[in-house]
Amino acid sequence: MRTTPSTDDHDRLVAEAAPAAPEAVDIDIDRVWHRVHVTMTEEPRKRRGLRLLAAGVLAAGVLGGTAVATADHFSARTGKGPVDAEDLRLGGPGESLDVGAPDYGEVVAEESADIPFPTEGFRAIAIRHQLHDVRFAGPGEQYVSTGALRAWLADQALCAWSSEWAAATRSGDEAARTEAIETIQAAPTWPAVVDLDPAPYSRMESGEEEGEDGEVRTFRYRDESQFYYLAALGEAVDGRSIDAVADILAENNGYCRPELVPGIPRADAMVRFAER
Amino acid sequence: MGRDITAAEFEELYRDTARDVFGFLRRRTTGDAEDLVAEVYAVAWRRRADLPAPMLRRAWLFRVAHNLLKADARRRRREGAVVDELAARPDGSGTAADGPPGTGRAAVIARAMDRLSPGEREVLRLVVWECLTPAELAVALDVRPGTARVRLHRARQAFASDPEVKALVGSVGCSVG
Repeated sequence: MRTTPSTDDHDRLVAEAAPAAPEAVDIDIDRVWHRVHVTMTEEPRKRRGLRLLAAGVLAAGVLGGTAVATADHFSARTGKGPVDAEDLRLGGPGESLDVGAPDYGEVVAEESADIPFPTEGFRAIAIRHQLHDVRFAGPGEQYVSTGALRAWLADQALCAWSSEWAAATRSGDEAARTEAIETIQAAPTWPAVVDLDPAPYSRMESGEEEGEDGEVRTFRYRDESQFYYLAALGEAVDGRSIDAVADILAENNGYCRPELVPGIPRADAMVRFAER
Repeated sequence: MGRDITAAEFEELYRDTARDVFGFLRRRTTGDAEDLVAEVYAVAWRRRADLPAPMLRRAWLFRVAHNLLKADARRRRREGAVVDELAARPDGSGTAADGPPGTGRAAVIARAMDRLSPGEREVLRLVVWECLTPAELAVALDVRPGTARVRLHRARQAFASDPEVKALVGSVGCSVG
């Protein structure tokens, strides 16, 4: 059976179906927190020691047992890579980094060094966002591959360059616009991009799913690689439609947070959603 | 895994996410959202050793909230209150026959949402109403990321293929936004 492609318009229709829900105000938040806090302090803590021990064992298992260092010389760099093809596919290439290690910020800065940002200010924002996302992680708790981290940083750099492009397009600063276009169009050759997605693709795949009646059905769906959107982005920046560039970023790049896109706020998917 | 989140970190998580959890619940029930929000975080604190990576915690909290809603609905059903609840529920999650009559835009959308399977409907709500990314969707549904993407794809296709939605989009050029 032929199906109708889903477009942004369809998402907007779904958004319209959202019941109006009054937003919680500070007094609601404080009142509920008081109730939660009471619950927290009432809870017996007798199993805590056991849980900590189990967690340590699990962390050791993830890294093959040897990389869980003692607290006095913890480093984000573990020296370990993906353990198998599945780990590589889901986690990305490169070294596993311990995001809770005290030197993780320095390592993020090192890994970002060859990724072009329009200014060091934008680079600092990108690094700060990466650190903010893992601010609750303790040493030995969570890991990310250098390949994934560098890909996210590349996404962030593209947000910043697109913001510069939008500002230059608006102001008529052709030199700045040309620099942004050339940088964005060169992104498919950045090592941070090539390492993770050497051959960007968009293709139909087949899958199987068991229905509620227990019958297994085969279906087709489109699968796109991480940086497949770069081709469309590179084409869009040759034009002058800021909305077109914003749409591509909002739909494909999850890192265009407001501080990175002051010149093109609608690249932030949350801003676009709020407009609906 | 690893060290438990501290009470201070948990409060930061609460203050970062509570408004979203309130919104999630208020869009899905006419019951007391405040009670449910409190229970979501009480569960989250008890299960704090199971919290996922920070960027996925909001979605994980939605999963807890969804499970509590189901438990709450079972309790209401037992108490005979479910009929009243369904009649008043703002999300129109009854059967297609329960959808609002009429040809107006809101009625068409509501009926199309009703005709989706419960799973498809919730996938669209999570992504569009709650702004979950595919990775967060996987956490909320407790499935692998690839499975989540496939379910999202199928839900979007199902909605877009609904005859009334096709007519609506086609007839007015989807004068939305």
